[in-house]
Amino acid sequence: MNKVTFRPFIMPLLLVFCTLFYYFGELVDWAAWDALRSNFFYGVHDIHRLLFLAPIVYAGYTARVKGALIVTIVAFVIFLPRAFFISLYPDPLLRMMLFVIFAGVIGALVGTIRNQTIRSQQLEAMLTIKRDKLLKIVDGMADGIVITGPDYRIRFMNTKMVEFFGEGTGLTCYKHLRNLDAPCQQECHIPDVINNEEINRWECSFPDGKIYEIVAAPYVDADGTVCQISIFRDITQRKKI
Amino acid sequence: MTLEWILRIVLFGIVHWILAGVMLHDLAYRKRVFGGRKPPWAIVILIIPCFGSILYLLFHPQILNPDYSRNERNRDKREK
Repeated sequence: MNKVTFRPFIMPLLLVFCTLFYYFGELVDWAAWDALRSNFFYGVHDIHRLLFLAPIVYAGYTARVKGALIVTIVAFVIFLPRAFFISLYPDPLLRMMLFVIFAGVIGALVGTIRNQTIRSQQLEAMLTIKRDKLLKIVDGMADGIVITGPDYRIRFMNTKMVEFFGEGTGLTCYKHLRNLDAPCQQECHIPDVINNEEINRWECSFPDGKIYEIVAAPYVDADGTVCQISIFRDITQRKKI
Repeated sequence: MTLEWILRIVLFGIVHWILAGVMLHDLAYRKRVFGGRKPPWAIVILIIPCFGSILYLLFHPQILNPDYSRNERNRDKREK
């Protein structure tokens, strides 16, 4: 018997506890437990009813909107005998119904928020899987691929790119690729690609003497940031011929 | 009988049929029920207004735990 087996019984136990609390005054009278008699259990039961918010909100959390509505209706049934036969105070049915509507709305809201949270978590996980799949394909390509953020920091380098320049994820592109302290003046196309969503193609020579043909395009990363994805093709041999 | 009492009975009836509908729907789709037989539960839900449904809910709390019900259905599929 594990925790999951007991979980469905939390709700009925909560309801039983709340019901006992709600009718505790009558229970004391019936069982003649005079030592437990307290004025609190014989007053207006608006405060006592608030305890039912616990099972209703819990139902909203675990069983979503449907569960919250079922428990609200069950709470309504539990309140009925007092409203019909016991309460000596004015408008017992009206006060009870107002609470039921209030509690039902809160329960339904909790259920809706929980639904949305679960859905966004699933979507996020799906997006991450898709991104990983895409990056796996990119990793196997013959050309070097690098994803650079708007802050010039390298977010991803494929195996070929690491082979060309060494691992530089997290470093700025100008420092890692060209050993500069500021973005490249003439050849940097990041602002054009990210801000104007342009696809650019240019040739670039590096301090080690190698010449690359670079194709850069905008790319929206998993966190929603528009980045630049660049394909580096080594054309040094072709240029020599 | 005063109008107030008629309204109370109508309200009680509405609540009974809402609960009974939900519980009967769950009973129809549930593979295993407490006691092994479904007809007695259907009679309890229909004959005892409101409290029959609450009794069914107390013995089948899985209705309020969709994840548990889903696991149970998957287990049934695997057993088949």
